[in-house]
Amino acid sequence: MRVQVMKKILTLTLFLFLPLTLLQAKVKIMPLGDSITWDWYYGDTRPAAYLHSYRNHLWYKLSDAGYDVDFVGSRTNGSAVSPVFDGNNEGYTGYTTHQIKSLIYAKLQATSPDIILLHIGTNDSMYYSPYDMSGIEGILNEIDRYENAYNTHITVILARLIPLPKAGSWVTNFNSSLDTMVANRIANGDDIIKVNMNVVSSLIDGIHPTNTGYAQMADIWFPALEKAIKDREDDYAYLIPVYGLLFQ
Amino acid sequence: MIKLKYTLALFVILFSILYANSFTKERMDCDAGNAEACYKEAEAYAFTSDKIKKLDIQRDAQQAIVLYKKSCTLGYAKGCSQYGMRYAADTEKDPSKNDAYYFQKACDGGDLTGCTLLKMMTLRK
Repeated sequence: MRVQVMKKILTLTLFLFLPLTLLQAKVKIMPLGDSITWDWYYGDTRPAAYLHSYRNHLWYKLSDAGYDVDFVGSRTNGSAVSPVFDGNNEGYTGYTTHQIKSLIYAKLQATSPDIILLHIGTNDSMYYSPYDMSGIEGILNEIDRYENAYNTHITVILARLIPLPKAGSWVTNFNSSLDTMVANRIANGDDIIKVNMNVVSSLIDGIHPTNTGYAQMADIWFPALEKAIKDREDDYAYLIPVYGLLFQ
Repeated sequence: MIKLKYTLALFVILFSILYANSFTKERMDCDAGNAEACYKEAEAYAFTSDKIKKLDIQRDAQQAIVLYKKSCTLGYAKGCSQYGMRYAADTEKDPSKNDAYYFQKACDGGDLTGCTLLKMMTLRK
């Protein structure tokens, strides 16, 4: 009899507090990409503690707007940057889309992000046709595979590439292919928000943004990220009146 | 008394598991001339995240440079790519070589990232 009562109490406790935990959990955001996510350029002499990319600027904007988020990733930098920010990320200097595809599943398992900020493809310009979306589709397929395996949901905020002034029309064509690919995937149920990273006037070496360029990137990520965060909150919003009644 | 023994045994097992993650082995192997071990130790110094921090290692950019350079000198291609990225920041660099030299060495050794960084140099301003 006592065991039965204990079981009921335990079930009720789980029923009440597990969703509440979900409602209050920090949103986990994974900055994913290449050197533009990690922060590096040719001839860079800064130690890793001073590297930040767009991530510190975005962190400040989120904090100012009152969002309590968690940047996730197996790598970190920017510990000496002031004001402090969460430096965790998945930025890999020199990586192509195919290299990111081969590692992303394990990183998702390790960090379980809710939202991914993805700017990738710049290094593909040295190897692949701008019409070849197989690498970036491979990354998105791996994210889908993870969502299915773990019964979870990830919003991907996918950036059109920052233009490369010396790469001719490669980026323009890549971005056009990206537009078509994203439209198709959204039509088939993927949760993708596309953003246009046009910060070409603020490049330090013709490839990587200056600090001003990174701040511009944060300005571009922010509204899309805010939408993604609010959409997630709305998913659990039905719980608020329920708890209001329960805890009156 | 038996409970105490079990508790102690459990403590020893947990302690062993935790220290199995330490970089003592990599350090010893690197000192013995194992290029890959030097690279692994460098990676830990360079990239260790706060959330998965190893017990006996803290991020140290200068130590990472030293170890990447050593792994490259010992013939580990990935080490050459990573050292090339940090070449400008090395206070003890060889002035007869430059970052392109190390990216080329990485590429010749089969590291795709080295090849990419070498090719991407053509897009610099």
